[in-house]
Amino acid sequence: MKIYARQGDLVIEKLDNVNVGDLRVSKDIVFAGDSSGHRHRITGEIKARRDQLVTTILVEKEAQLVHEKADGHKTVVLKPGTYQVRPLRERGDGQDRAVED
Amino acid sequence: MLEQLTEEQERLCDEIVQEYIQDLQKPTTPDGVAIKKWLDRVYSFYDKKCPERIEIVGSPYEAIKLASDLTGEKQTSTDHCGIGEGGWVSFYDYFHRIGVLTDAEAADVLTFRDFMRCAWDTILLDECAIVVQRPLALRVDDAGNLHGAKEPCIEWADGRKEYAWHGTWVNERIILDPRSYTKEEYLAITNTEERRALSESGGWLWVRDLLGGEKVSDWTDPSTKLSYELLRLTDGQMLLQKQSPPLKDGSQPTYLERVHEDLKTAQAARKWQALPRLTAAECEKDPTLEYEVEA
Repeated sequence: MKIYARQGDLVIEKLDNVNVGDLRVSKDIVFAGDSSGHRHRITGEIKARRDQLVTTILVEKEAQLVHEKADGHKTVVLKPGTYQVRPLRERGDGQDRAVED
Repeated sequence: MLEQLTEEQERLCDEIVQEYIQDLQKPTTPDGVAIKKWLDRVYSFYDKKCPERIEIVGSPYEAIKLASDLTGEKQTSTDHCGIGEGGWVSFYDYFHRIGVLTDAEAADVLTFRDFMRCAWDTILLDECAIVVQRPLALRVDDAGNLHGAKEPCIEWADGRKEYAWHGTWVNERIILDPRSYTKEEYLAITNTEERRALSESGGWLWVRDLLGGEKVSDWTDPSTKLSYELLRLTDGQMLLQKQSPPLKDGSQPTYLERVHEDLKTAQAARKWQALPRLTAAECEKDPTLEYEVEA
């Protein structure tokens, strides 16, 4: 099994099925982040739809997933394609939850 | 037009960066002249005069409370116009110093620079200019992140203190008394960075002893050399201890996250975290998972 990328606790999975429904144009979309506000940010304009913790994105022009902490995770290049971006799973009490970073 | 920097100009660029970074940690006292000069200028941008009443307060919290009391409206933040602007101020300061900007062109930037060297931020109201004093202490780690191993990272003049561990905001207890945490309290922390801060502050050996963890499996990714350990706690909970890919500064911190109790191997636990559509049993049956990029 091969997944496109992981940046910290964020998984970026390339989707083969391109029929992903309606996506809206989004600029500088951000994800999660720790208590210091160090979020993960996709620079540039993409199309996206957020379904709670899972975000579907369409990258038409190469974009970058940047971690805002100066000495944090390295940048991940997103080549054109459709992806699902979601946090890693963690076991909670009674149900699973997303890893918060 | 400036097309190429001389060696001296390049050197000056690095020096100014260090100058501004080191200035951040100086507990300078408010300079009335520099403050008034900036306030007069900034109010003029809005065609207003600086109010007669200028209050210098000891922290952003005190500023917000005063602004709320004066306006009768809930204030939630300062102006964010102060020390946080050092990035672009230093940029224009540099170009003034190498003669690209004239004194007249740089005048406002330098007035602002002199203000932020003796003050932190503002809340500018029509009837009162609230100026936040610089903190008495501001501590960072080698990477410049707010950090205090056994002390606050920020000590405000009004007595308030803030705590951080290598750039992660945490509560006082994590810094001053990490080993007072019980196992239940540790596992109740949902933020993995906060949990990591507590673990590093208290020590990983303390964490293993606290949780009563026994290693049941370990695995090293042959392509990235990242290491993973699956731990079983005495109450049956399973934790995955994992090494981060190299960060921008080359460090590789360790994280500890709870995984499904039916998992038996570290490799499968890694896959379980990444693929919510799979059960623990499915991950154990086929634990292989490769990332094109891990950062």
